[in-house]
Amino acid sequence: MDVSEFRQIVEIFVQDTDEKLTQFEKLILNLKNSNPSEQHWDSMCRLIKNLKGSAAALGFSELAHFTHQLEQFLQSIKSRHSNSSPATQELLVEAKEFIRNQIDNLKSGKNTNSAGETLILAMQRAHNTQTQYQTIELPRPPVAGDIWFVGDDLKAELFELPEMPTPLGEDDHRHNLLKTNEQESITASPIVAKIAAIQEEIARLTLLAAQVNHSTVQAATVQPETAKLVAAPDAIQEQNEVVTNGQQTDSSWQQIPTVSSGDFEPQANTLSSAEPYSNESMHFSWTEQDSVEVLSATQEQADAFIANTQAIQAVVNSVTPAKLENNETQLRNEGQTVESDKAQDPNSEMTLPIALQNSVSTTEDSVKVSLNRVDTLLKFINEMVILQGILDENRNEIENPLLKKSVLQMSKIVRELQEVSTSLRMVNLKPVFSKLQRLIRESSLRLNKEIDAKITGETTEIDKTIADKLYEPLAGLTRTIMDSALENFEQRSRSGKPRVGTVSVNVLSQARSIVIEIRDDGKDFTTEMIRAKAIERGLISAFEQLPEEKIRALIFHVGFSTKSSESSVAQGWTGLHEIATQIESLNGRIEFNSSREQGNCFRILLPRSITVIDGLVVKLGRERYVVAKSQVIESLRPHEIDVKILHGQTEVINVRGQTLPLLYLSQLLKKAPPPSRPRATFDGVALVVHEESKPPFALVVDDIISQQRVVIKTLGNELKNIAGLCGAAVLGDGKPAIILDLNELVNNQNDEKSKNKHGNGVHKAA
Amino acid sequence: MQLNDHYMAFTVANEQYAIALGNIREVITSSEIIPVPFTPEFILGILHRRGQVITVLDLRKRFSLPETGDKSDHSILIIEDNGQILGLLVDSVDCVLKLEQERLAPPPSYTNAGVMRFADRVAQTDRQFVVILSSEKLFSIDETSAPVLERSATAIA
Repeated sequence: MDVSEFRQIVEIFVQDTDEKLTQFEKLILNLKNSNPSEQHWDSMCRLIKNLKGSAAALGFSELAHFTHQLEQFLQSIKSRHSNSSPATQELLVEAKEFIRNQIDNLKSGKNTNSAGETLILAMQRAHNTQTQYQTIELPRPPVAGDIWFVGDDLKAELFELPEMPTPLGEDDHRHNLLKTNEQESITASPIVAKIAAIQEEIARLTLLAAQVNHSTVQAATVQPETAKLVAAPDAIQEQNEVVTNGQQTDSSWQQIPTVSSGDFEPQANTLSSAEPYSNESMHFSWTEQDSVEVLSATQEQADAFIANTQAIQAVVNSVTPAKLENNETQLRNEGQTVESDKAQDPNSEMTLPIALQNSVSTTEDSVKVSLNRVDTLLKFINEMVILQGILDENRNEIENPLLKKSVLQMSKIVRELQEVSTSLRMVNLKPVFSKLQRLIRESSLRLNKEIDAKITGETTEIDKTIADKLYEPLAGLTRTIMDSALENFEQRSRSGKPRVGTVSVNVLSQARSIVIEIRDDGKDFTTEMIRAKAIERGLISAFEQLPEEKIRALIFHVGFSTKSSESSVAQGWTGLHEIATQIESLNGRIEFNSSREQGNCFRILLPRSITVIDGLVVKLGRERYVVAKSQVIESLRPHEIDVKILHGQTEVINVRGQTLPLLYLSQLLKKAPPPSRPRATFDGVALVVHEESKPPFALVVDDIISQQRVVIKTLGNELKNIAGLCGAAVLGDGKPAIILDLNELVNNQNDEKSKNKHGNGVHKAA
Repeated sequence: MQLNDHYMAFTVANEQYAIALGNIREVITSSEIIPVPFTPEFILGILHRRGQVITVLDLRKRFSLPETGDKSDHSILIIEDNGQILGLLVDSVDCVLKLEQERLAPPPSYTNAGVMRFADRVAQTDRQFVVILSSEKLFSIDETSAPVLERSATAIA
């Protein structure tokens, strides 16, 4: 679990708790009206139990503790079939308010107060004839409560921090961690010094604990700020100065004296080993408490304690740098942290938590809205954008200057509104990539291949629809890579590669699109191999000369790979066709490249938003079409360029040293027959179409009418699967126009041509 | 109002057809229809209506009926089924018919040509024979799909 994921979970928890409390409130109110049935109490218990569960899972032990008490209280009322007295109701309302306060505090990032204790006492008093729940009472040190938080957080850290390693590796790691510290502590000085050290350590630990308690929750809850911090070490430096200047206003600091004086409540008696959660936290608090009590006792114990506290501290320290960094290299980093800790200035250790705390005061408030409503909103906004376009187009006809100005201003606002509304659907790719990382980890175990996953750029935002459907193809692709490309240990060592294979996923963000690159350092799958396999499969003839990118594209061909294939080098590589189809259904594209030096690389290009593109409106006869501006790099008029005729049949133009075929949109759309003979000039405008890794060409249209941002409307099912058409846009005059994908159009034509040439294609007459 | 047995009647090539009123979203009399490349002849094009781009079919061509040359009074019926929307170009929109279930019969089973591929029921009104079209079948655009042969057992009725 990393920072932003945790933050999201906390946000969900907060929303969820809000809802539960509202329900709970309703149930309390109903108590007043009627004699409650057992189900009534049951449903109240259930709500609180759920709440307790999630609070405990997230390490909010104070809340978990309180809700646990509340649950016991409710249980006891239920089991005695007692009618609800006004006092009970009052108590419940208070309890509910308390939870709500806690949640509010969580939201605003304030420290949670411990007023819950009095309420718990009141509840206990209200039913103190009951012995059952007093014995199972969850112990909670009233003053040193923050230790508890540390415990939980540490637990969380210990289990969660090493994102990649398997459970086994994790244990090893922890073991090492402890060992390192033991070794260090062996070299330490005699008992007296040690006791002093222990006291100091406890003080520091408590301090850190309080900070960590605060800041991990906050760090976790407010990710953007965290990101900022990572990006700008300067900011951290600044915060450091703030700290050293003594501007520590945080309340938790005030708790230090109390705690460091060894004022731990000996809670051990009340601790029950059957405690269902926070076992780990108990472990830590026990150690501390025991140690405090036996400070003057044996050297062994003291040593053990130092080792322990240092281990804890090491983890606390590692929380600071590691948690904020990408977690790929955490395992290694942590080892280093342990070693370097000794020399560290206590200040620097505390810098980050405080820095976070200062820079982060509140969680982003959020409202859970159904996607449906967002989409409805978007639909209306898009309609408004269209109408605004109509207004803009006719602005010059408006006489009234005030009206004209208003239309102009309105147009700006509408544009901004559209931007904002599009961003409503944007989510970041983190959840997708976390899943992918898990998949890689699991598969590497299953396949018995050591695989290191490197993922960067997962904070890139993309439309929710795309994000939702992205995992499937990415997982399929990763699986294929791990199965087919990455070798096992022996194979790797034989070919002199590092033992651990690497799959790196990198997201590059462009203005209107994102590129996901998946690279591996496994067996390369060169163009020659693909060609050989394609010939074997009968996809191409042995004599066919194809450009390299066409050959590479063959691996996505439906007939390319089958599971039964056993003979060739390209064994495996299955399911790529399906993956390509999935990517294409998201209006994306997938490409493959491979070289011995760089390994294999899949590039997936995806539109960032499915709704809006920058378009060029072009004219063809009386019709208008929209083409994506991203596909067109420049436009040329006839007088700017000479048309040459190659071999007496192909028209080409030369743009900055590049020879481009000259095509006509009217022919691509089958609006006009091909000219009987090539001409040395053209009418209209030639668009130079060049998309990365596609062969460039020039396309003649009659004229460019305008350049505008258009909302992509999907076409009905009847028109959905026509290659070359990717939707419709409503233009400024309220009339629709088809949005063309120029590369697809050209591909289609080429496909048809080659089919015709071979005489086996079914060519539908235009 | 109970709409179950109400139908919108319209004319294509001098024959009357009807579609369940519940499937009719609106009737528009004129709108510029933009042609779409690479489509079969019966797809007239697209039009924009309230933020939506709607495909329009030429029913006459869809039913493989001959041209009559009479293009004076075209209307476009916008029909809706299961969230899908389609425009149908018809010669004229006539009236709303109330047809009780008893008066409806399954389409004749022996003919699947032309119109009957899209028929849901047929009805005999006072004056003439009305084919009630299934909006669902109108939405299934695939030219090559074999016409559905069903209800043959009950067709004798």
